Amino acid sequence: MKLISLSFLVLALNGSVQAQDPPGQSRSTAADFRRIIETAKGRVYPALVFVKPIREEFSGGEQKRQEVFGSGVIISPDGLAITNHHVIDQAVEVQIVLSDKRQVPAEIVGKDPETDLALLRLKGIKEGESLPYAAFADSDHVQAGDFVMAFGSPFGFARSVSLGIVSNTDRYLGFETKHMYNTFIQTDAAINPGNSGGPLVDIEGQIVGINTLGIQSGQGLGFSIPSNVVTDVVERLRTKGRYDRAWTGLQLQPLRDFNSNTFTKSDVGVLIRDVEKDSPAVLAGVLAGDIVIEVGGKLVTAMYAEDLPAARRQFADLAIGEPNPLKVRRGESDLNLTIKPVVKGSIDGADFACKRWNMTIKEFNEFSEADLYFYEKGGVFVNGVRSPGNAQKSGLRRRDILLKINSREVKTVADVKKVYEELLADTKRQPRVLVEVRRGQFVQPIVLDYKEDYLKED
Amino acid sequence: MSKSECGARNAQCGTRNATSGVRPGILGIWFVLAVCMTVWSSVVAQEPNVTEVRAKITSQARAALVDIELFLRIPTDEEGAGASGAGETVASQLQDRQQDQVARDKKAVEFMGVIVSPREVLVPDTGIDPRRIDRWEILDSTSRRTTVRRSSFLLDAPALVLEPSDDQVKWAVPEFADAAIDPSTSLVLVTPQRVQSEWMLNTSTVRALTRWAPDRDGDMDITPFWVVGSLTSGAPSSDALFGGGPRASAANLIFTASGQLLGAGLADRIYADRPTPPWRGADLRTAARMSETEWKEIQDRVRRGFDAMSYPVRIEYRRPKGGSQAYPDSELLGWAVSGRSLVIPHAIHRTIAAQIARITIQVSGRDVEGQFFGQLKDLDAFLVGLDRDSEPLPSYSDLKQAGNVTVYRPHIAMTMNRKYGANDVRVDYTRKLGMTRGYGNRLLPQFLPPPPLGSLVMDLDGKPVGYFSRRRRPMEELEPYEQTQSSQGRIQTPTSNAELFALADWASVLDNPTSYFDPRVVRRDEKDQDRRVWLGIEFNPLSRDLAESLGCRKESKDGTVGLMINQIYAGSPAEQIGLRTSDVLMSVEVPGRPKSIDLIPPRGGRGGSPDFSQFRRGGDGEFGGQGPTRAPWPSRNNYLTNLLAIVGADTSVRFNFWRGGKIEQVEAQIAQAPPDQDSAAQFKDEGLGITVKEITYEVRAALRLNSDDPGVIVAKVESGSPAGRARINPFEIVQAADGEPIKSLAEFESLIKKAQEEKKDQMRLTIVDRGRSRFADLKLGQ
Repeated sequence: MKLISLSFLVLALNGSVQAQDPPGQSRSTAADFRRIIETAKGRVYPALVFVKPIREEFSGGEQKRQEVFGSGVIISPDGLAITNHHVIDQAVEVQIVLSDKRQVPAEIVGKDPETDLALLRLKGIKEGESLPYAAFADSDHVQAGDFVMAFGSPFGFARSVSLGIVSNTDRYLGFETKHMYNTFIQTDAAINPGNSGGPLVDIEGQIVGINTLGIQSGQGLGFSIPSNVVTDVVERLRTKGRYDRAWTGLQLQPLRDFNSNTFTKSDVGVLIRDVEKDSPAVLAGVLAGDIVIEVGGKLVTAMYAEDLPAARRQFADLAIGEPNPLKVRRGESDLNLTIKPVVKGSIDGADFACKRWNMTIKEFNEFSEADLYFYEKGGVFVNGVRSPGNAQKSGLRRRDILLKINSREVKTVADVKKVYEELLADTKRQPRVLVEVRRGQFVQPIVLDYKEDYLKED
Repeated sequence: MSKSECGARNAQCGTRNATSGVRPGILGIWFVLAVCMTVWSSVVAQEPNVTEVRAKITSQARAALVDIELFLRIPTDEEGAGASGAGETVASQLQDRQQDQVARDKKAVEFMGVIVSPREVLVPDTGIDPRRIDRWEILDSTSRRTTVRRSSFLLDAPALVLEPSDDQVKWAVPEFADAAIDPSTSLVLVTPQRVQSEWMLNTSTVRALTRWAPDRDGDMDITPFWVVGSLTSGAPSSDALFGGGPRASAANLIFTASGQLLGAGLADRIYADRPTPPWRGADLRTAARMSETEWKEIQDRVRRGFDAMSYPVRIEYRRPKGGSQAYPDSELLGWAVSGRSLVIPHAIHRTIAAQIARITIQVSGRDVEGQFFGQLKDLDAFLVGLDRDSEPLPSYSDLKQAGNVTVYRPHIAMTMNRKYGANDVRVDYTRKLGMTRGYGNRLLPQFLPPPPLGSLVMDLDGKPVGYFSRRRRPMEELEPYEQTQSSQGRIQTPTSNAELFALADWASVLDNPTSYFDPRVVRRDEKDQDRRVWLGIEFNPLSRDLAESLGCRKESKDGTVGLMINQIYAGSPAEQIGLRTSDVLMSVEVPGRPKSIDLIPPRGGRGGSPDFSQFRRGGDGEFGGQGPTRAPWPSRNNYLTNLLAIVGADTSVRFNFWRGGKIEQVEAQIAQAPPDQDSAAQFKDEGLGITVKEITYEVRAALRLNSDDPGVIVAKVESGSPAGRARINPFEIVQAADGEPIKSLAEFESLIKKAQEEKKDQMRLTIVDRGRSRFADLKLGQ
């Protein structure tokens, strides 16, 4: 099965929605069921927040500011709230609407793009005030068929509740570079854009997950990050402000890979499909085809694809910069190796908009853009070109890697920004600059002519 | 219409419009020493008896000339004319269509004939295909119509002899005088001209001309002659019927200055002191004729003779790699010119010749294996033949016996084809009228009607004399590349360069054929058929801004010309001659071409470069998702490789390139390239649903592989097959099988065979996509 396009549930609201019929004719369903729902709702509803970040987006080769809508939930009386990373990503300001309709600003305590979670702290709260908050359930105990409710602001309709059941507790959505470290709880509770960051709640009124993804063309296909993953991330973000993962350079493949019908004869361990060049794993002597059975002294097994996130977490939790034991099965023999992981770089590179050039750029590394990294070991690439615009007209294309601007090497967004600002400040200069880009295997000089000001209002 | 054609037509128009009625015609312009012509009236004005002479001439002309109308019909397919065959040209098809239209409209083609005997009228032979003639009618002064028929034609002047169908009809024969002429004699020419619906008699004085040009032997030809012809130069058959409406042709009358009727001008020129085409009244009466029946017999005899020495040839082609269709089998008729060689009267393109799989020649009902010998350099024909150890062909034309073309005499043009599984030989007749100037100021014989291209021209004895073909120009395929940007894409092919290649010269072709063959048109082995030649670079076009920053706006014509090198392949000619990335190739000088070719890469598209923005690992890239959507290497089928393919391997060319602010020059030997993905050896396993190719140089460069890195490239995967279920994708590399590095295509094949023989269930393949590997189990099955 090919992965269907998953969409983030954050919503940029820009239109009115048609009024709907008022709900509720007869509420004469079984009283106890209603009470269950009331209880659950009563516990989470006050903690539910409406997240309204002002985001500085880089799309279509331009930097744009816009207000977007998402959801969140308060998880401590002193005002810590959780939401999705993609809700507050690139936010320059975050406003929160509480259940009592107060709007307060929030600061970002920490974010973890790998799991798509972010921790916020509400500001402007009265001294000594204790906010209503929701508690986490143990997501390991969630079973398919359990009743769950999704809370949030679908399409900006704040404070909405929808009901459904858990469809699957262990959905693996690992693709490209995201969602490598967690599986999802799949639910048929209605989840729409705007639900992002809102809680998925069990009948006890406890958070079992954070609603994160939906399938655009599907119905009743929503995905939530399990609460046990959330609590782990929250703890690290609260204490350190970030989540450092260990990187070994080991690429994992499950023992029973149903996707490619590739089955490895072993009941323990995880198959190493690839060892990245110049990685700690190479130094440790791991080879592709090895089966790692113990990592950091603990057994590791990834029988199926959905076991991979847990296995990856075990590798990610190795002591960074320290020697860690690694037990590897190669053919008939077991080897005891030692691996010294390094900290994994961010999958979220810095952005910058070269406004006059009508393009946006982004930093990349091997974790965020493996395909670009294959051709150039890190740097800055063109993430978007505005149409119409100077970059587009001059022949720059999306995903061109910038090597040199005006004969100066550029390795980081800061490098580009410096050259860009110098060039623009030099009013005596012809509005034209030689840019050397890498496009796949080829290096190509391009003259970027920026005499036209496409953003100027006529 | 090409420029040269246009010029020729203008020249024609100019002469046709001259009121004098004298048509220098085939003489062209530059070698006419003196044209002395004066309008008759101004000459006779000084004579006392001007009115008298004029009246005398007019009355004689009225007695000698008759108004004739020719009605056409549309020939049936069986008759061959008008049916499109390989020998036909666009011009002849157009002419056929116009003649069809005249036939449908029941319009007449007008003639003015001259009475030479009581039952014979001569009209100019305008070369209308006899199969198209419905009937001839004579109009007398009272517009009464009498049917006439074509009874014969003159052998030594382009004239047809018409006789009345009614046995009783007899005409009054004009009296022809017998006055002697010498180079100082002025003749009076009466030229009937059709002006709208009437005939006008144009009267002019013609004096003898002297031609100032070498004759066939290279001596200066200074024989005086008079231009009296009634047929024009250019495309003479079209003179009768071109431009949509019926045209007219007439016999000219020749008088002395004192008004005595001497004869009629049917041939273009007459001579006083050397053998001349018949023109005097008495000569016309007795001139050699060939009757319709004799002509038919000769046709049949020649056709039969030809049948004996023609053999059906079948050519089968291999499919080009890369999925396109094979060229359909050719069924042709070959003309044997020796015990083992046959001429095929068509050109064959080098890419098609390279794909020839098999040639069979049908000899006495038996298929004999044949060979491709070569495409002639100068003309549109190629030679096939038998192996040396095969039994020689039972009969063939002996080219050592080839004759020469005789001016004005009818010849037979045979067009040979295979059609509907049978021999299709079309027989046309044609006369050589003289010479005309063609492409490159070359003197070309002028034929009326022009024989079809690719026809074999024979004399009336059935002796081959020539082969009528377009003259090929050296590397003419490069001509579209030589156009400037504005006209690139509109391929201009001069069509007026058809000529008769004397077969007497061909004996030497057979003695030493390779020196007459185009070295680039060869049959290739299957493994080499799609091989390219290379310089060994990848490139990008310039832009105006880039040209400015490089300082070569002028040299690159504002960035439109120039290939900026962005890759030099290892071991290529480019590497050997020291080209570097960032050099800009501006132009190339190819031997045999008049000027250097500006390198103008195509715009708009990406050319051969892949679109890297599309290169995302699709779907679940973890363990084999959709894989790359396009090949992550450039196609070697690009502007430069296509241009160099025409130039061919082992040719030295000179590149002009821009480096460091100035133009430099370098000689490069274009070489046969190593296989690329379009020509790479491949292996397909139907059962496993996978096709793999060897990793070729451009893939190694694009994927940064060393020359000894193992693996094969996945070219195709059938969905639902074992390979498809293992999520192996095109453009990925199979690097190892069960941990064993795959060093070659053959090794991959043998590993699979071996595993299948050992009844292994599966093979664990290591699949690599741009530096990332994974395992995939390929189920081998039963």
